Amino acid sequence: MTAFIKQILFILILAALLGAAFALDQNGAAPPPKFDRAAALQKQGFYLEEVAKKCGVEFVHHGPTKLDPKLQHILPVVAAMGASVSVVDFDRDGWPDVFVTNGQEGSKCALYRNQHDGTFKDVAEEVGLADLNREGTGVCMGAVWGDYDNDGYEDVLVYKWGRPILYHNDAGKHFTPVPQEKSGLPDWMNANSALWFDYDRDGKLDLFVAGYWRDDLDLWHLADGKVMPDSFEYATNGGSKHLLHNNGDGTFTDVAEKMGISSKRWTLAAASASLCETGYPDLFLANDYGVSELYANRGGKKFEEVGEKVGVGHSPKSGMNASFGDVNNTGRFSVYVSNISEPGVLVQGNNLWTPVKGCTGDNLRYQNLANPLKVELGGWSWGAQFVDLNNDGLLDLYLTNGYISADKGQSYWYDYSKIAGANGLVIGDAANWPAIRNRSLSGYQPKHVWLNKGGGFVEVAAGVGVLDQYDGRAVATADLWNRGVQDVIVANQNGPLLIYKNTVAPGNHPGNHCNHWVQFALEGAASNRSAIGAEVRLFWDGKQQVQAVSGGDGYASQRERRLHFGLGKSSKIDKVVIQWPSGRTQTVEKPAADTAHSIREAP
Amino acid sequence: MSVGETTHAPPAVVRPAHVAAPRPRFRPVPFFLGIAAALVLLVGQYAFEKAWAAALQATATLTAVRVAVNAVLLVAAAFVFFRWVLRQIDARYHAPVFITVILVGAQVYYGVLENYSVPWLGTLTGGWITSFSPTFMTILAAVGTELVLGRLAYGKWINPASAYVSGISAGILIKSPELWPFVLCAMISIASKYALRVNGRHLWNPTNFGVTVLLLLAPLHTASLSVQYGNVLWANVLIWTLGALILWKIGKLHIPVTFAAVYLLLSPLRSWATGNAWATEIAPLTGPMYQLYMCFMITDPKTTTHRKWSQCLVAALVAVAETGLRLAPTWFVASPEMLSFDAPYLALFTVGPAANLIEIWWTAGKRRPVAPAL
Repeated sequence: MTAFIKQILFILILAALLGAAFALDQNGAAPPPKFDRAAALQKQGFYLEEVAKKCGVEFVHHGPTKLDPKLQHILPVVAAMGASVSVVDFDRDGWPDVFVTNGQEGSKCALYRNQHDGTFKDVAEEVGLADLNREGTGVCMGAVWGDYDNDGYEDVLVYKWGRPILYHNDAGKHFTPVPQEKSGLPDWMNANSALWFDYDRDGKLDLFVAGYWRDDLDLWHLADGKVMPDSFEYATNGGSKHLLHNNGDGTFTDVAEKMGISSKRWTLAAASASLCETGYPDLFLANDYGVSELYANRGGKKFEEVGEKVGVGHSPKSGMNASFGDVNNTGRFSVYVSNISEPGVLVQGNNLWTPVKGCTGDNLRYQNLANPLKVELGGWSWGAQFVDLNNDGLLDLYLTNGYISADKGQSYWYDYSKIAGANGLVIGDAANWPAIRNRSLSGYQPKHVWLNKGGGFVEVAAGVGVLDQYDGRAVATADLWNRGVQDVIVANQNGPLLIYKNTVAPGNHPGNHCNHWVQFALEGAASNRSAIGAEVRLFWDGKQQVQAVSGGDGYASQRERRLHFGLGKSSKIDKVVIQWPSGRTQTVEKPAADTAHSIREAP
Repeated sequence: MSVGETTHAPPAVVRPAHVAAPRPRFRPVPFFLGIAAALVLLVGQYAFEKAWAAALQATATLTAVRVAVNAVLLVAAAFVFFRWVLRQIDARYHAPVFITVILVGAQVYYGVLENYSVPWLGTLTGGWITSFSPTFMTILAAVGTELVLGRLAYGKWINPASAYVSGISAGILIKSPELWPFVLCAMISIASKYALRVNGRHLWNPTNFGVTVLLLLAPLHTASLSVQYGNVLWANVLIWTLGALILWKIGKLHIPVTFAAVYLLLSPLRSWATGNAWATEIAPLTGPMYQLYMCFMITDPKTTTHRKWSQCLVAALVAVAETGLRLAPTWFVASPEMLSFDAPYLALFTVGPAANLIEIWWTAGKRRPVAPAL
């Protein structure tokens, strides 16, 4: 072969490789399908319709605007959180209600009572949960509900950049602040996540609150600008964590240090379940600017951070969500952690931490299956929830996203990338952060609804009616109108609260979607009355699926406590095994399908 | 990236081209003692930081003590490793060893590499192996491509040290959720060496070519490394010291020094034009991407010009072009933002080959090609 022919051959090889790169990049870049209800029912078995205004919900979130002047040039970047949503039946009428926080100084939060007729009414003012952003007390970042005194009514912790407050629910009529000397909460902290759980299984709900910014920072009055993370991916100068042990007499004691929780990472999301399968609830933290952490519960006596050992604590990213789901119907929880992906700029990819088969307890190990299961790229991802949207017996995944939607024609990404890649000496000082002005940063992003097809997910958001492009933060799911389907509520930063009403194809639908469902509303006896932490394992049609009652998960959200299982075409359930937080196990044989069951813990 | 190709580079000390550099005699005792001493110094630095860092930050004087102690320990570790370990190794392997040290150190301390999981791997091995490293696959792809194309070109198996450096660099610099961008980047990098040649000389630094075209052709699935490794200044001290010693040894230190100097000189201009703090405009220099860029990419002997003054001129022009690209969207709103993101790659991608072509044209007929034509 002559040199000339060889040269031509090498040029052809190079051209083929370049062509392959271009072709592979374009693969799957087709425009999203147009939304058509009939087509969605036919193809996916459901569609979602945004109905907030029709239901009387016209809540619009606003972020803080009066932070210290040293942060004003990056205010949209800093004040980018606080839109939260939690679902609770605060008045025990059997219908889920919705609580949302606002974040502007002086703005009001809202508690939407379910009117049972398809509408909601904001009763926050009359029950004392509206005016939570008074000057000098900070602003709300989220709320979690749990019946800490087992009186049957769900109490609420409102966590803030500022003074966190625990409110006692007075029989669904009013909420009374619990004095700080009783609640054990710090006078001031900058929290972005919290959850209720009974870590020592004593039947009384304990409280975990995670700081984001340093505790000593009052973001409205800063001494200097050296308040930012000291690294984009290795920061350890965030807020303290507080583990408040419920003493059973209406008081709490902070035992975080004693129990081994000393992280100073920038935690944005916390979730709890017995991931190590010991029966004791473990604690998973998704941290911004760093690795995730998993605190394994050692018999209610100690927590041990095992994130690195089990595989979730290796590659640092920008964790913003932690939600659990039995995605493969293996009877074990996977953990979904959202991160940042911006094509051509920063590709972190979201994580779907799935337990390796056969590895449990002290040998627990996770592998990230986000890529092979196709739930990896979600833009600037925030809150996510696993939910069976079409009742086919497989948990789907709803993800909201988007950071700052300002001027569409101008992006802050380049300036942001300079500071994100800087050494700690530079990134840690707000003065070095370029001014954002009116530029967008991963704004106007299309949302993601990933439908679980068994063995992988497919993106269907636009095709099933999820068309908004707000800067989404928190996602919660509930059967808002007791219809046997899961609706989705989304809180947006500086945007409206969205309620996506779910319509599932009826049994005689030509799409052959004749799917059944079953629900379980649990009430603890020896366990905490909210049954938070209870695991329900459903066996049907040769399959099983596990779900747990949540005391707060996702990002700044809390799902409905009532657990919902899709059954697919099978209407026969073999049994349900309930692992109560107390450690007791209760089995219900052959519960009826298409029914919401209320189950009280057996004595 | 190919400092690994230094066997073909003009040596620091002028000697006839056909005379090989004398091979250093291998002395095992100093070699292993050197490794041990470097490790002791590194462990000492780690222990010092762990035990005394907080206490020594109390006052400015004590902070200075902390900085001085750390700097001395790390520079000493780098020097010991260079003097008694690296110098006993064939110069061809300095770059591979250096880049391996960077990668392994970063991975051990900070877990910078993300493995990709595949369900069947965990099932197959009972959970022992659940994932693979895309960086490792990139190295394999680069070395494999080099062996195949080298065999086709020269009819013999060629030393893959250069491809190893290219592969490891591409594996670090490319960020993607998919495997194919890593593999294609490696293959394109190596293929470019064989396909794009003038007078037997390839024009583009291979990894620069591979990374740049991938960022241009596959932006939906590809980004470049843009964050810190560990974010501690001490790692920078160690890497820059060791890198400087190696580059000094092969007579290339003036190139990154010139680039850094011009980059810093132009930073006030960028600061003025963007309104950003000066510290923000020099911030990228502190990251691993620039460490690789300056230690390996712009110093590649195969794709730099031959005379020292012209190498300095080209390095300066690359820095100037880079600033121009960084400021393009600021001054011209219509400019694509990717010009700024990928400015260092694009600057070298355009200036480097242009300089080489000019040199080839200028010297045509005056000297023989530096490598046999294919």
